[in-house]
Amino acid sequence: MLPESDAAPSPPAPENLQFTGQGGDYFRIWIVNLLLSILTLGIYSAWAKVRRMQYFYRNTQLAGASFDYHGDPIAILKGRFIAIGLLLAYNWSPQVSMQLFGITLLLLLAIMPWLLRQSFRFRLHNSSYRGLRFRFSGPLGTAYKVFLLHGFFALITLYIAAPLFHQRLKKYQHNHSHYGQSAFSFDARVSQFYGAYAMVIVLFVGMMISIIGAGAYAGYQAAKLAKEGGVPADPTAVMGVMVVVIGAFFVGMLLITPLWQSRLQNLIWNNTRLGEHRFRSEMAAWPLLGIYLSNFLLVLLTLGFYKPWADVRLARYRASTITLLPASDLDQFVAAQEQAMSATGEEAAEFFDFDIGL
Amino acid sequence: MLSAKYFDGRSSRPQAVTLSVLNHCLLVRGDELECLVSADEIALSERLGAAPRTLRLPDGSFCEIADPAALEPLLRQLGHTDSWVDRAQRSWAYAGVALLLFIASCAAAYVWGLPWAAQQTAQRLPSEVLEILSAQTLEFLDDHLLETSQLDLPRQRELQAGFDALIKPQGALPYRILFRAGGALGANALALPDGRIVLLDELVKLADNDEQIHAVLGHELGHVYHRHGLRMLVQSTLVGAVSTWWFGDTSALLVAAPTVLLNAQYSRQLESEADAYGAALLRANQLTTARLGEMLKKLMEAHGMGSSGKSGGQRRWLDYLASHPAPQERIQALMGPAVAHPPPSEAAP
Repeated sequence: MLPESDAAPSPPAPENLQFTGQGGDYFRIWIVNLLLSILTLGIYSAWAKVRRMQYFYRNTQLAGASFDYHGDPIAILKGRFIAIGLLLAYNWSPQVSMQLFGITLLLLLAIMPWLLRQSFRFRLHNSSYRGLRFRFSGPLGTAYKVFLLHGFFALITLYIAAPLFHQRLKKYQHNHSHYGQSAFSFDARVSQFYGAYAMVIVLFVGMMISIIGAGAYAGYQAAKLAKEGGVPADPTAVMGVMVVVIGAFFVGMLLITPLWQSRLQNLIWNNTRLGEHRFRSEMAAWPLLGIYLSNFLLVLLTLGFYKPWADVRLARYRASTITLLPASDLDQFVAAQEQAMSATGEEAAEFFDFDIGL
Repeated sequence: MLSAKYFDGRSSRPQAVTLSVLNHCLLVRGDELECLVSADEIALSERLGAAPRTLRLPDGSFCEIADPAALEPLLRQLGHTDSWVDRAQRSWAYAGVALLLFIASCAAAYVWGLPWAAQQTAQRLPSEVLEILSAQTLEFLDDHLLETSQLDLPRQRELQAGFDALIKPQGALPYRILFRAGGALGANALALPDGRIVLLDELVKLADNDEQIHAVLGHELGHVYHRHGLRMLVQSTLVGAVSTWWFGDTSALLVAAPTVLLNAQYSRQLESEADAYGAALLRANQLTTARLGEMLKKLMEAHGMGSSGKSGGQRRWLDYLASHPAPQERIQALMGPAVAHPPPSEAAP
């Protein structure tokens, strides 16, 4: 009998994502670029954005190598002009006529899926790791189906269908992403999204009921007191109640958001694969809440200038929660065919950089 | 000699290489490769803090150097000099200066830059734009807030003619007075960008004499003359956009407060400008500016903003949120000249 072949070699060890940036370093880069941006009335902001992306990409390390960002500032600048044009049209058309606003809104909805697909393509094409580029190949038709069909459906069902929309969106994004010749895949089901959203929705509804209830009660008491005293209701008191209600809402959102983000990130990345390699995400709501709260207070206290440190802290925590579980040697990835051509930029020129943060 | 990782751009496999300089050329040596690249063929990534730097070679491959500080001596040997932005981004001194200059620029933009730009834009827009904006607002007002005026036509014509007869400082302006009943708005008057001024019955009834009504119309005409409607549109849009950009990532709540405060300050400035125009109109017609002050006082009392019942501290707070300067200040500014120039005898309307 031939000796049994060795058992399959044990897979390589898990690789944790690491962020090595420092707030002090990033502050210096950030403030110099900010000054140049304001002196050039915003034009330089495209170069500032490229630097920011490069700082965060290059300080993200995985298995001994770092990521890189190759976005062209001119392409970003073009995209920003278009974004400003759209924003102005959206803001000023209601001043002209409601019909124009309606038309503008419809136009924006019509091109939104295209813009978002472009932003996925731009972002991935300009990202690389170990010299190999990422790529997005999602068809345009599916983008329209996901955003207009599912997005609209989510809206008209008062967000009851939002988890469905989110699952479809992530499926579209991850199933059509590539690294070199390898493909990402996504296998989380809609029911899992509903599970992740459940607690968040319960908390959100509870928060809304308590805030609106408390606000209404306070308003009613104030009106009653005024009526009994024979004095017209003090507008300051009403305004005060409104300010407190709105403030309580934003504080509530600040508390619920980390729960939502951590559950969703874990669900999405635990069910994403690159070829045979898996990911593990262990983001926890409490540490994230701590970071958000302290960032919020420090940004408030410093009138916004703490932001570079805040961004670095968040990036450091986010990276630390993601681990790659390699199924085989990470040296085996191969570049996709079109990468052999040098990036001439003509393909890149038609991309827009449009950050949707989903 | 410096160790680095070499990637050929075709696979993800790193190769350990050493870098050295030979006659202003970079020598890359590893187990499987050896190449000499002249300095001007290398694309060097910017230094960004302590992040790894890449040296990109002409064939698409590159070397990744984990410690940028260790790369510096090699770069000197290659004859490389950093850009001034590169050097500025590394220095705390430059960063400190940049911070101060940035704050100063923002303040200058808010106080002078944006108002000037908004004024220039507003002055240059054609009258068609003004008409479109006004029509929209008037339609909304007529549909939801205002009703037909209860003043009889002779009285309306009297008021219109009385105001038409007054000399307008800075020359004639196209304008028209529209009469409405105010309903929920009470005693008030408002100017639309294209020169239509809506005058509410309640304000007419509130006035002691027509000169006071003319004073208010003069203030409103000031809004038309300076094209305040458009100016505020431009200014508030930019204030909102900048606040969102600055604080938006952290919290939407942080965006609200500065937007409201900054817009309120702009609004107060425009109201003061309109007051100044109204006062100039009164003076040009040998009337006392006290008329506008008197009317403001009456309007204040009619809207329940009397001085009773509010502590000084509370008033200060609300002043910052108010879209109009505090009534006391406005009245003082207008009644002041009345002391210096005693009022002439009051002409019957």
